[in-house]
Amino acid sequence: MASHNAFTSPSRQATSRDAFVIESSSPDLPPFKDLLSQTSNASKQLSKGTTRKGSDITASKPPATTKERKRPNASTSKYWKLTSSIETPVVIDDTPPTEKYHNSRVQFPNESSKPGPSDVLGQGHRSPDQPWKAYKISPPRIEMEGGIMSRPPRFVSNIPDSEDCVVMVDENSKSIMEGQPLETPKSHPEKMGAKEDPSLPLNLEQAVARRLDWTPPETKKAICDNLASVFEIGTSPFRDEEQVTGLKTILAGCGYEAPEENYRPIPNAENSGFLNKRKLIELVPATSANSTTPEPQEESPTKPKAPKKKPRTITELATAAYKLPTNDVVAEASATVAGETESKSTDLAGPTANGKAKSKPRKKAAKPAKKREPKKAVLLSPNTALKAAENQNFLFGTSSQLAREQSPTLLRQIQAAMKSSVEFDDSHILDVPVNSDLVEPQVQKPKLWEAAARNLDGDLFDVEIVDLVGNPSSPPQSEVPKDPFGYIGAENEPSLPPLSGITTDRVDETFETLSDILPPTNPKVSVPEDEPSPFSSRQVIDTDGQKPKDVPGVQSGKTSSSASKLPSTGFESNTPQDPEATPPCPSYELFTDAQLAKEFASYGFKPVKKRAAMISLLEQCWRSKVGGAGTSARTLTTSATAFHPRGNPSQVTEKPPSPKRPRGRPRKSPTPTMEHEQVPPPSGQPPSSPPKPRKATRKPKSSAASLKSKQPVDAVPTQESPKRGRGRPRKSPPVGLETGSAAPKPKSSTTRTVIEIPDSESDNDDNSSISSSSSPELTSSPPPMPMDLSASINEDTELSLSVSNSEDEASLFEYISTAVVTAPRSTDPANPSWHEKILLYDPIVLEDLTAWLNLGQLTRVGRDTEVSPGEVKKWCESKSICCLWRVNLRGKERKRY
Amino acid sequence: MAAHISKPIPALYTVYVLRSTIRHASVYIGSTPNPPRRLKQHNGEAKGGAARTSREKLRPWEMVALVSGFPSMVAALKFEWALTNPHSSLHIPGESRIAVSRGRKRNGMPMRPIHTLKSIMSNLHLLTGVQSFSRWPLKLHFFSKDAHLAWNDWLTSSNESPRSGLTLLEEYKPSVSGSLEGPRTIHDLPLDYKHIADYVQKAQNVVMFEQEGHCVHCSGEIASTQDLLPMCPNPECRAMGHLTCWSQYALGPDNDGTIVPDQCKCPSCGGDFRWGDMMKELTLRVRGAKDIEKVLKKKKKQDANNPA
Repeated sequence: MASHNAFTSPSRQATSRDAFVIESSSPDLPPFKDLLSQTSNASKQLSKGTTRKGSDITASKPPATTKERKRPNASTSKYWKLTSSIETPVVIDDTPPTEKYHNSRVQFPNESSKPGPSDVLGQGHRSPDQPWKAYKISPPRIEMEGGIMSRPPRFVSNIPDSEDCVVMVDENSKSIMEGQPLETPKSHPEKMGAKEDPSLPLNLEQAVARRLDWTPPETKKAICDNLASVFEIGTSPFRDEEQVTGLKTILAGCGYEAPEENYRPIPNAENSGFLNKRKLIELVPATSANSTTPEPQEESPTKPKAPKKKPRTITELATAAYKLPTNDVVAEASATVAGETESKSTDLAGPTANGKAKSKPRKKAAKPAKKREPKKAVLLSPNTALKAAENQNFLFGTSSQLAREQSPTLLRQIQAAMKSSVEFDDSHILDVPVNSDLVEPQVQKPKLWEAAARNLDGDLFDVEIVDLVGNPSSPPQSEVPKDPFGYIGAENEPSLPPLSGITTDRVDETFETLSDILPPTNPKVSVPEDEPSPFSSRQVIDTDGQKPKDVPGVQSGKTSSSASKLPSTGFESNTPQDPEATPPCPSYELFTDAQLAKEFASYGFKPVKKRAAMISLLEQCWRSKVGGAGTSARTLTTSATAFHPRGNPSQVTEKPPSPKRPRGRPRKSPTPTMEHEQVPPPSGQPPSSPPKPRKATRKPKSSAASLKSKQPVDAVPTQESPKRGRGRPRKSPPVGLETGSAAPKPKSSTTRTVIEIPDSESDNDDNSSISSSSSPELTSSPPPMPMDLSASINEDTELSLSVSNSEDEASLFEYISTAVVTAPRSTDPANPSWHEKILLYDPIVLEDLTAWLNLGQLTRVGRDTEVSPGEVKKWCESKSICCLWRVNLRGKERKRY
Repeated sequence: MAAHISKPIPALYTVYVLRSTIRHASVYIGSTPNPPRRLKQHNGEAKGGAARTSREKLRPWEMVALVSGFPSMVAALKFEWALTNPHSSLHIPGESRIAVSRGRKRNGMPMRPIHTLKSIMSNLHLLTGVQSFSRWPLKLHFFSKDAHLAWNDWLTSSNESPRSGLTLLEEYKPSVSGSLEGPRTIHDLPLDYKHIADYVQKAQNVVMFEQEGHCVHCSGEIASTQDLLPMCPNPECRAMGHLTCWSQYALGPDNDGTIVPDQCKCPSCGGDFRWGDMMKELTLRVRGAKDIEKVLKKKKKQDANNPA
């Protein structure tokens, strides 16, 4: 209590001071006020005796207030505290402020009737019914204005009618909600004051002080609120006692019951006096929701529904913008907009059943069928996956896809555009070499082609092509136009069936559209062609008459040239054409220096240092050799096709019109032709190498497996293996100066696996063989160097070298040995010469030694050609020199050895 | 090569044939510069054993034979791989290949035929005579009579003669010359350069006091700061000369293209030695200052202890 009193006292004191000031001006009135009505403990304390005494009547009140407090306590401590805090401030504040207000406003009359603070109370008590009612109304408004909670409770406490109090509370909340009470209460107190005012003459002074009070009370209110809890316990009883019992009794009956229920919501609002308004406002809906079960519930569900619908609608709207052109899209958009109000579940359903049904099924069918189902197909098999991937390219772009997908017309148009573009590219580019990917081949190939065409002898290439065409009896060109890009054809054919089977009707439709677009030129015929084309020429031969013809032609040319050497070559049918077909001019530019040197030597020339000179000479020799055969071949075949294969073996597809064949043919044809034809010129080198056949067999198997085993696997491997392995590998390995070939190898392998398995097979085989051979030894890229390369490739096992090029090797080794031994010894023990390193058993880094040899050392010894690391390795091993590559098998540079 | 720091020829690097003492059919091929340590690893006495030798039932393992004298780790690894994969090693000419693989592994590589002591010995004989390794200063140690028998069986059955360049050491037999010594084991192998300490000391003295003199072969002036100057390994012989001169002399006038000498005869003292021994000291002198310090310290201690 003391603490309470102490706390209360200052505030009260302040108030009391004001009161005292007032008192000084009009001493009698304020003390009486305080004593009589009010909470101000100071005043009470000061005039406890008086108040108590004077407020005997009030004695009856305390129980009521206590009861009120107790009751809430019983309900819940929290509520009690809340209520208590509310009530207490009410009480405290009520007494002072209310009285003040009363005083200021109403109190004037009270003061005027100083002697009767008791009278005031008495009035309150006495005339509780009417005036209190007025007060009742007033307190809510006070709360509204001052935001003071205390006032209403004070009124409550003061006011007899519990019902009113309850009402007041409700009204407060409601009033706050409604905002009505403000005006009414004010009017009432004023009326009350007006009634009382006339009695007191000293209004002026008091009025000023009270005006001061007026402003402070608000601050006090806050303080009071803070101190409310403190005040409550101590002050309330006194006041209650002081206050009229009748009021309490009345209040107790009605107010208690109501407050519990009603107060519960209120206290939250009242907890923080200042925040009350905001909270109240906020609380209103919550309370309203709670209180008014039907309405709020309806509203709440409606609100959540709306937001849920909105996001969906937003997406729909976003897509709708793209979809606008199509009728379906518009319908969907409208449906979505209208459907916002509707249930959540029916997102797509939209307003109208029709719109909903249409929108949903359309979207689901169109999108999932195309996108999802194709994916499944991909999972099913690699071929289908490849096809699907190709198809996906057409459907690229998410948003754009959606829009396009929905409208079949767009898809068709796009496809048509794609085809047209492809055809256009084909016409220009002619070759889409190995990989099926649209991006890669188009741009780069044309350049390569052009370069190849310029450099190479068109005649020779043409001849080869001619042979192919003539032999098969089926024009390659017809095939070409159908599928400019092998992959396209492959995609269309394979993809369509799997997709259709897997996907829903829509998917089928889309595919159908694609098929319709693409196939019209070559619906069914193109398909077989396409399939064989991607595969190796050998496969083509087996499967399709046209392709086989082409392939055999190429091979036959090869076989014819190297027929004696390579009896096993699979293309027997081609042999008749062999005489006609002249082997394509080898792309000497692709040859390594060593290879060129060999080739050069084969013509009886002494080695020349300049590559350009060597190449030009070799080309001239080649032309002189081939001579008329090439021309005849040209006549037979289309010139365009012929050029391409020669220029870039890798670019296999020379023919712009038929994508499929060019792949299959060029690769096979160039490689085999190159091998066979070129092999003969170096004639000495042809010997069969055992290792190559192994590789060839391996590779063909893999390729065949990938190819779907259309063609007999056995035939393919056998053909390839003998040709490549025997002729090329041995020769090439020594030649293989091109370390860079290693890089292309992996690419080729990857390409194989991915799409173009058939096309790449021949090339890939070469590459793989190269790759299989020890890394640096892999001399030149397979395609460029048919003869030498094949030899090098085949000789993964280096042993073959000795057999094939024993003489060359022996001479080369002598040169190397001489160069190494005759080099001056170093003058720095820390950096021994190569010879000294060898004598010290140091492991020799092949790249370094090769570079050293090629940087003038071999020339110094009298050899103008360069050596490859592979050759140097063989030399080292022949001399029991421990050698190694700079890079280990994992591709990392060795750090210790 | 510039970035690479050359090392001296290791004191010992071996390729060994491991055999289970429990199950003689289980054999293993490995390489190590320290056979005793490696054997402990295989037997589980130290960390780092091979998975293939981890079966407790097959332990303990024994080294029935090993090839020493590899001039570098790379050389030893090459030989080890070739010996382990005699079916696919490119060092073996196709016509002389003994091991033939049957079938292929999942990755397409030919399957390795199962090793037996006989197959290993046959391939050892093959590989030591192959071009790639024939001129390495290798020694073949037999620590088990079974290994030696397998070796001899192969020689007899194939009518082959032991390689001229290969030194055979029947370690399992008590040394004929030194009858007092019992059979030698892998623990008797020299793991450091201590066994050439005298040789190293001799060369160090010559170099330290700049007593190189003139090249034994070309009579040219030599300076250890400028030239690689091998010294005759034979004790009491201080013949030094240019490395290239030594090699030229060792290979003789009838050189048929060989670059690396093997057997050499000192022109000064007339003693025979293997090229590898001389190179070991030379590389140690040029590249292994720390190792020389160790060796010479030990030698000093020994010298100090012995007289005491």
